[in-house]
Amino acid sequence: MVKVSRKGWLLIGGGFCLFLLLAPFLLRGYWIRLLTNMFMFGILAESVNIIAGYCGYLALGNMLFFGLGAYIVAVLMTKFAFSFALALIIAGLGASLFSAIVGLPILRLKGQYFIMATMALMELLRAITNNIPITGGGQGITLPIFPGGAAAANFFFYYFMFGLMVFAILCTFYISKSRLGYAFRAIRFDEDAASVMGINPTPYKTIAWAISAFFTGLTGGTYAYWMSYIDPGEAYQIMPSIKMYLMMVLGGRGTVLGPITGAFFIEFISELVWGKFLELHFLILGLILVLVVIFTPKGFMDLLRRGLSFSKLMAGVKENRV
Amino acid sequence: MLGQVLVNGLLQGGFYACIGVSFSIVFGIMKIINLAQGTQVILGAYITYAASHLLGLDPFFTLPLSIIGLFILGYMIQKYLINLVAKGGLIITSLLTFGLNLILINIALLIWKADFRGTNPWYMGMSFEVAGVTIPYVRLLIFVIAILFTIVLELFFRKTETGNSIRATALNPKAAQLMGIDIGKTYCLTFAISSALGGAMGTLFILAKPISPFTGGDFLIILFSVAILGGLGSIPGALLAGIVLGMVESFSTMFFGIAFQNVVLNLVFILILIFLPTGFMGKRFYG
Repeated sequence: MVKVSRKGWLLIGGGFCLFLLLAPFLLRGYWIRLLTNMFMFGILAESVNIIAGYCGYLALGNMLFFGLGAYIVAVLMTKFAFSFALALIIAGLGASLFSAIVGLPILRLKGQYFIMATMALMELLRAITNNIPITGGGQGITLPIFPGGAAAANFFFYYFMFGLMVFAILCTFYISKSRLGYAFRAIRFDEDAASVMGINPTPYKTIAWAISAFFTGLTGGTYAYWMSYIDPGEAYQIMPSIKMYLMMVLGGRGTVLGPITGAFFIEFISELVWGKFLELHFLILGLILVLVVIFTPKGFMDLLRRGLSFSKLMAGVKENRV
Repeated sequence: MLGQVLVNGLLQGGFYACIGVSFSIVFGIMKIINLAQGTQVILGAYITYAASHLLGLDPFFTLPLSIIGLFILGYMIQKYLINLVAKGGLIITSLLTFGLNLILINIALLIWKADFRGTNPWYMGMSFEVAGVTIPYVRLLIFVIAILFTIVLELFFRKTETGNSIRATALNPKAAQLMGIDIGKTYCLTFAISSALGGAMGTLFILAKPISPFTGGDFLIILFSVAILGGLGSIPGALLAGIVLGMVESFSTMFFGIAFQNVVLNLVFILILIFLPTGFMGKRFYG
């Protein structure tokens, strides 16, 4: 296998970033939208990474903040004539605040119980959104269209999502190097031991989920304006939640760039492969999920590091076998 | 009116108790959240649908078919997929069962399309009346069969050697292994029993309501609630929890209408998790 040095990786990464920065001038609308979508899942996977990858709390219903953010932006812009920027900031902070409020009781739950609680919370929000008049109920809300036409919208949302993603990466990088990151990892490793060592888990867990909710809420808000239409079935979906986890696991849990690479990879092949086989959409995603958890439970990078050979792949499978 | 609501809740509750138990044994024994359980129930229903339409069998007599079919499917799933990752932690097993869920849904979609399918036996609309309360025969039979299955399962766990070895594995897998229990096989059997019970419940479900490949997702909140409210590993607790849940659903429909049913069920579940996480009869283990 070809060994790439540290310098080489930096060069490849830098070149890729430069390409992404110039992409809207080089590519057609379809590719721009595809890339924007990849950025969006990058942010979502990264935000799941903060609570699940670093802190070890598996918020499987994390899309609830996406829906919440989307609906805050939609309602504020249509019913109260807020500007997008202001509505978006409120959406991010609102999602954060909501996570802190529900997090105080729910983050005391562990393991399976926390997973179930977050899934139920998402279903609850969906059911409520479906039934109250201000959100337009099951019919959804149509948002104001981005001024300046489709091309300008493509341009704007491309750079906006890209900026958000860079912001999320920088935040995660900072967290991973700071005291916060050490505390998160200690909680994931052994919560009781962490609290004996002087880390009070409750505020740290709440902060981790609030940061995660903040980014997910911002993404949801941006998505609502981008699509200019949102309904409860689309805003609160379990499927993207699962996809975020798949991306995180594939890229590597608890790493800064892993979830982003996972997101790019999955979204790219999903667009190229699934677009052709609409009837097999679920089957293919299901197979990918099954194969990824069996063969690369520690991420793709771990597999590369150990070397790509059949015997090593099988040795990896044996590790988790009963 | 009140009597009718109570009876409806009770009849629905028996069914909920049994599907809840089918989810709860995998949860309690292997610590795995089987997100595919709802779809396994639906597969049982499709077996009944196919058998009653192709062979002209009465839906109730297709019970053995769905039980055997799902038992085999469950055994295979556990042996060739879940056992491979069983030690991998919660995120890995949850993603795996969700992946399975998607695969099963897609297979059902390819075979039966997205339309709603139902059975319509000749005794469908028939009912009798006791003190002003209408009781459909089908619903009563579903209730009785569901309760019967639950009791048989409890006896199986308590009285047979295989049942004891399953409970021992739940209590402490390593110690059980030292006592000569094959963990892999025990897990396979547990999952197969869970699937078979789910399949049987599918047969009962399609008698009451038509189904589509996506109906399985609606069961999840019920499965979660019964498992938690009943208490991990307590089948009598699950029975009680199922009936309580049936009542909650029945009364919420009366007071707030059918639209708010999901709001109430999910809210109740979250409150249970916060205030009563060990459930009615929860113990620390499946012993």
